[in-house]
Amino acid sequence: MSIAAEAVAMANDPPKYFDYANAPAHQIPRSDLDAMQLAVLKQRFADLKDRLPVLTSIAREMGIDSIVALEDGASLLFPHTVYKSYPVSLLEKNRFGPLTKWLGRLTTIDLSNAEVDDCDGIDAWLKALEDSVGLSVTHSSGTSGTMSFLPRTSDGYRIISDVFGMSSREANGIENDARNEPWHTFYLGFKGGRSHAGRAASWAFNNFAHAPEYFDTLYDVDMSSDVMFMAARVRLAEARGELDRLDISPAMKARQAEFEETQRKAAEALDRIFEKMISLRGERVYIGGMNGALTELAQRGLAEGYRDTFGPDCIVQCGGGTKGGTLPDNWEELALEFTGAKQIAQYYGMTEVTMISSKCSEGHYHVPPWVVTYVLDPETGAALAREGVQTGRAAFFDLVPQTYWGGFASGDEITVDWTPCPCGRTTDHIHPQIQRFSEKRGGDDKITCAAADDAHAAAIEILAQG
Amino acid sequence: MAKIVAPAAIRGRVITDNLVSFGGRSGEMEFLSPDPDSIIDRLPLRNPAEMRKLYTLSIDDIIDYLVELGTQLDLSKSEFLQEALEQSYAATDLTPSILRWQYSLIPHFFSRDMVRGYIDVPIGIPFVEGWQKVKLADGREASIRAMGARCLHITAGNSPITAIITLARNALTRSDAIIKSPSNDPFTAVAVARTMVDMAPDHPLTKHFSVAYWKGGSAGFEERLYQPKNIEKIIAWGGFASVKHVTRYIQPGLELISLDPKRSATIIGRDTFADEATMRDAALRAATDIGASNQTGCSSARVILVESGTDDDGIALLHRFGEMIYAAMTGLPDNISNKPKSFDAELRADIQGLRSTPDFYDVIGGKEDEGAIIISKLDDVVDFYPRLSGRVANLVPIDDISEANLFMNSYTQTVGVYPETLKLKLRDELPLYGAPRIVTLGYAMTSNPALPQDAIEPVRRMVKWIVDESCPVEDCPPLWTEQTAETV
Repeated sequence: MSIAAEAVAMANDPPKYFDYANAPAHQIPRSDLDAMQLAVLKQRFADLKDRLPVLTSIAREMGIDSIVALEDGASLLFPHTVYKSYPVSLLEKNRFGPLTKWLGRLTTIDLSNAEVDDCDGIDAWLKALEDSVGLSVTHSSGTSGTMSFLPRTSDGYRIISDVFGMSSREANGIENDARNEPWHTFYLGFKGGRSHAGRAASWAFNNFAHAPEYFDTLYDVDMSSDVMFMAARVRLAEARGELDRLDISPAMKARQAEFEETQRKAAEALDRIFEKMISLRGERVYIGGMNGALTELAQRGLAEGYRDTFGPDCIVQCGGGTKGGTLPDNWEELALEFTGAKQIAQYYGMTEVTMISSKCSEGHYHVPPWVVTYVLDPETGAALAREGVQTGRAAFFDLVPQTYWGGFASGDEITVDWTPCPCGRTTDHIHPQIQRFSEKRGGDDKITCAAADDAHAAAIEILAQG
Repeated sequence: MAKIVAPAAIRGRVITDNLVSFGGRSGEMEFLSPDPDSIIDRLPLRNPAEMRKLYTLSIDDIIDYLVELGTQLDLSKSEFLQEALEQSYAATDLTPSILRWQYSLIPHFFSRDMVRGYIDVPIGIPFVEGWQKVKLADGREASIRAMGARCLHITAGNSPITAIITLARNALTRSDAIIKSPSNDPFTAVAVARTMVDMAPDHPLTKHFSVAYWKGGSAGFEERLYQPKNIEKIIAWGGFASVKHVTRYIQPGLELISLDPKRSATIIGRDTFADEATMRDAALRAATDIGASNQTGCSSARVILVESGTDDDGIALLHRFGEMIYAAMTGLPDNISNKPKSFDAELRADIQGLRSTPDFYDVIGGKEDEGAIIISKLDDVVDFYPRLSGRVANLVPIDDISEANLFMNSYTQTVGVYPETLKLKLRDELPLYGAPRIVTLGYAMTSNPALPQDAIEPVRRMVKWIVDESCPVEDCPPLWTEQTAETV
């Protein structure tokens, strides 16, 4: 195979190309890697430049009609705001026709036949897009009160799920040929949903549980996108002194009982999960989801004398979310003491990029070969040289997507290191100090992905106020 | 390079010892100022009886003092001001030509008629000069007087005039002021204080005006200073975080006068589009409200509601109006407005996002961070409207002027209106939602400190209202007699 064909095969399905193992992905010599990435970037641009109206206009404005060097990708990045550049009133008023048309400018999938006119909420809209045109949209948690919508395909999710498996197996020392063995899996969150966090439950299922009998979740339903949006609007309205203007749709009010039932069941589920955990003492388990729920379980278990419950082989990967209260400073210690796990692995990734990176032995997040990293000057937006160590706005070109544009400038400030990492991987790596520019500016009140539980409680409170 | 020093001035003395370093707001600038802990014991007025000397001055004496100070604060003559101006360039969000122009306005704010208005309009000079008798229906006679208080002023740094207004209000109410300078303007207030020390070091007005810098939120320091034994009122201008922070010190005996963070809006009525000349006039005025002082004021226009209609013709009209505003804004005189000193990178990303959405938005200008006009094609304000800055405004079409109410809330301050007659229609309605100031379009960024501000009269709040009640037994039935008890 030519290097271009090789590269495209890698980008079209990285897990398959690397045989579901993470280590080989980070061993490609840097010069080969650059050539491979450039080959895919050229092809993606040639394929998409006339088919994505937003890309067409950016390329025309920048005067770019073909890609010559990897650096050219930096001129064609979509700002993170593109995926939330619709008027938010369209969501509030359930005007999904214009929203679908807006989304259609960002994907090559034809949305003109999507049946969305009768949708009474975001859940219904995204389901309709899935059912009628096969588009699997994922959305952000509603940072700053507006949701980003990324027009992924179901195949894109399959790849992310596999990438998650590759990273977590490596981070937790699991051999690749053991990847289909079932683990008792406790996912301390919603069973699913269309947010990045909601979709994370399925990654745990696909890579560890493999079958329903091995899978327990805190909530037995999907996280509603409408609830997340409403919670985000409530917080924003509060911050802006506009709570009196907040209009709750009749469709949401009608679902109040359903949401309350979900909340009530979660309280019971914590008891059920605790009992099941105790019954599985000494077994091989995987625990994911919200660290708030995990901390509650750990406190209860330790109080009842359960220590090192599952032994050193158990995997704990929880994050975010305080479940309405504050997390004790030593929550990590409590969790490790109760479960017996050696570590709680940390990952870096974002909704818009096919990347879930675990930390290497040096504490760095390595960027996989199917993602090109750029660092932009935070003030001017100009790309910094892709060499040495650079700090600025994180931007990526995700080489995986074939139906939407992979170039993306994020809201994160990161430090990227292109010098060889002592861990031996050839890929560039991100230092662990990462922050959002909006927070750095003292800006918005971010609802983190794992804080879905908070959002749910906040939404119910507002509904109850009538 | 020698670091810049912002001295403190306490009760007629300029203090430059025990200097420690502080970082400026934008991270660009460092300056030295006396260690706050070394001056904390001298800052508050320990003995309130010292304020008695302020009552040896008549209001005319006070006005004379301020008028004389104004002549000393002529930028072309005052070395203190010239130095402060030079030092401020690195700290301020304003460009040099705008800041220089604002400094040059200082004498105007000290002209005799202006100064008299600051006290006579809100309170009435007789009430600060002596006891005003009022006869009441229950037979008692009261004498009322507005007297000075010990105040701490947390001033805003977006304009040097804030410090000037504070000084004048303090003197005219015979109060004692401690000014906490902001990090984006640590030099103006102390330059004025040094001028006062030079002019009349032992004058009571000089002795009751102190200026210092400490980092807002220094909990230990503020906890010691912000006590009812030291100060009676805190007048806090500006940012959400700083006002919110101060509320933790509020307790019985220590009052907060909050000039909260605000945002302003503009309402353009249908008659604006009657003919080309009217439209151009409105565009120039709107451009002035957006562009003046590079949109750094709380009264700067940001969201502009236009009764253009929301159909295709209406949007075309709105777009043409937007282009007129953009052209007028970029053509404003250099001392009023020019390319902003810096541009918010997140806002830039937000604007880029809108450029990809021609169905819902048009963006006029903005490619060089010079400012931009965002045209909404639906009757919808951009979701990031609180961050509009750097001469970026959002024009929003509405079908009927009554819809403008939807965009007013308790954070709304100034509403510029065009044409003028529309104000009469709006002024009874808008305040129900917020919007305490309704002003002729083009004048949002001009102000007269004699008028109410943020729906209060700060000067009436700054003073203590004292009453002496006289109750002659023959006019006021006494409580201790049986007759009264029976009546009750």
